[in-house]
Amino acid sequence: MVTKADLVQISPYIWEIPKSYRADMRVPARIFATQELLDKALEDRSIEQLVNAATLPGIVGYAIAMPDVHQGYGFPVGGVAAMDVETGVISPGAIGYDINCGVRLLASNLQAEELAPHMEELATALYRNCPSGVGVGGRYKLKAREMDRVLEEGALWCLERGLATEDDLEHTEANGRIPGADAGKVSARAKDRARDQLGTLGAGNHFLEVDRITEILDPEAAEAFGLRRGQVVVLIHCGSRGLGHQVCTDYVREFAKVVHRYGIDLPDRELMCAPLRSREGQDYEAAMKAAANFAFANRQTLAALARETFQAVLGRTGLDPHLRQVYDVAHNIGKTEVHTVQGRQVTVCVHRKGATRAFPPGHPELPSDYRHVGQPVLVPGSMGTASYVLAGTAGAMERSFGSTCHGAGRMMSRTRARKSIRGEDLQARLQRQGIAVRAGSMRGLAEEAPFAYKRVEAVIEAVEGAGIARAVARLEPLAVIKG
Amino acid sequence: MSSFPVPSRVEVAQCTAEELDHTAEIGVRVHAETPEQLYACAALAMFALTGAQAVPDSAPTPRQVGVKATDPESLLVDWLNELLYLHEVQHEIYTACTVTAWSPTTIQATVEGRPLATPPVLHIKAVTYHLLQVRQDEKGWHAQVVFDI
Repeated sequence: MVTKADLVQISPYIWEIPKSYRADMRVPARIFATQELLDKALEDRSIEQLVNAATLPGIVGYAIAMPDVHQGYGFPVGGVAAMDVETGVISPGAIGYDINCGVRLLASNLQAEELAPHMEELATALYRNCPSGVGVGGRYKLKAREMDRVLEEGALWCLERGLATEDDLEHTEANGRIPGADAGKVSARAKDRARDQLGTLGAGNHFLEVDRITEILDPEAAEAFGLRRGQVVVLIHCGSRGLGHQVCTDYVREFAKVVHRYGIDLPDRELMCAPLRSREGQDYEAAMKAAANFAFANRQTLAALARETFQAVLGRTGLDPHLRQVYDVAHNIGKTEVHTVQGRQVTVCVHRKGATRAFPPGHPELPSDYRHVGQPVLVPGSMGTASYVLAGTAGAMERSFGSTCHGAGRMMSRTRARKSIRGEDLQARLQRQGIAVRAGSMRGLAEEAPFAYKRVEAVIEAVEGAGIARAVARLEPLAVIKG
Repeated sequence: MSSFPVPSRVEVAQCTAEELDHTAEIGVRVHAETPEQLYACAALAMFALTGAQAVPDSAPTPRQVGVKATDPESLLVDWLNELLYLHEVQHEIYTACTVTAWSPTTIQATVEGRPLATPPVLHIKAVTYHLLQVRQDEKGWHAQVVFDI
């Protein structure tokens, strides 16, 4: 186990495990954390997993852990690894089973007080219209040809069907469509699993929240993002559902057959990988992009359902039901990007698993209205506590391959959380705090109890302290919809 | 054939299963006298974990499942992933399982699928290689598997 004695403190919020720590490390590992979060990270296997990630062929710079890091399977959740596209590998386990799990933020023109009399009705209607829970299908059943189009077109597919606007696509990472996706590389099984899952939240830590902005921390960026104190916003957290899970499963199995042929020796089987330039690596990359596109279309469809619900509930009240898209960003993905490593420009595949892209002001991939302040980063807290909107920084480009944190990060197992509180009691407690909760499963609710997560404020302090994002706005929930 | 009720630690005639505690994921540890029982038990334990309930008195649909892999650990992962896939596309829960043939790299089984009365409360996305174990000692056969949820 890695201990504090093995770490070198680089700055108040940056810690390094030198390459000399273990003979098979190709690069050092870095952890962005407060003292409190570092101590938490050292309690489980997350840092050991980070060291394992530092052994992957073609990794450049550092293997990086975000402040919300926690133990994953093979690769830590809250980890970033950039692989040289010429010499490096691609690893499904370093991207995650829920490919393009991510977050979307929609902003209303309403103040929280205006919406208050309608909140209970709105929460019930959102729960009914935005399908959540395991095995709960959605309104859209995709035939084979349509499924292939969703996989290759992403959120653009939604535009043709009136489920998206041009403005939505402009305010989505990669415009909601990652080029290079190939539906032919996605198995029939993966497509079968997702046939009725477009426009569904799923279960676990996925949710749809109605929030109010309680604090503006960066007025210039908030103005650019169209956010103001007291405003009602909607946060959607979900991914590629069964399709992404099956793509990951399929390619972990595929890579297991060839990993030895490529002479790759792994410290953990869950880090299964293949060279990016190999046929197998290229096939997975094309399938992973297709799954990412499905997730963009999924969140876009959910946004359309949320808009429809706002319209249905508020249409007769005289209140403005409009929801404008602020941004949509992935936190489980592999992206080809150019970064500067030791003064050299390198094209890398940045694996972000539980980490969010955080591009700085001036980056050409940002929509023109945000380019002067940086990319919005959406950080959901634990249920019933605050979430944050951050903005990307130049520091993130220099230090973390344009990446930052993705959430609060678990610190308690689901079993322990479930033993600590009953879902019904938690629901009552949240109701007393003025949060309308609609959940399909009381057990699932208990497992996502706020005390099972790290304090999101500590995570925000660490990313700001390390200069890999800056806080723009703080959000607090008014209604939580969960599977 | 072994049936498997829902609680987190269960003892049935031929195997025991217990829940494995992990920060973000969840898993099971199973023990049995034979590999056939071990693999059947792991499957039923996985579905017990999901908390899904079958429609009472519903007629079971038997499904034949056959999986090949390179070693006993991969076989366990592939076997459970196969059942997860069936569960998700058929909207069924598997409450009984008979392993009819087993070798370190192959498994043949019949599972009984019953329609879901309520959706599962725990969504298992996939079966992982993380902390994966299949081993035999003088006390019998043991397996450990972690699920991504």
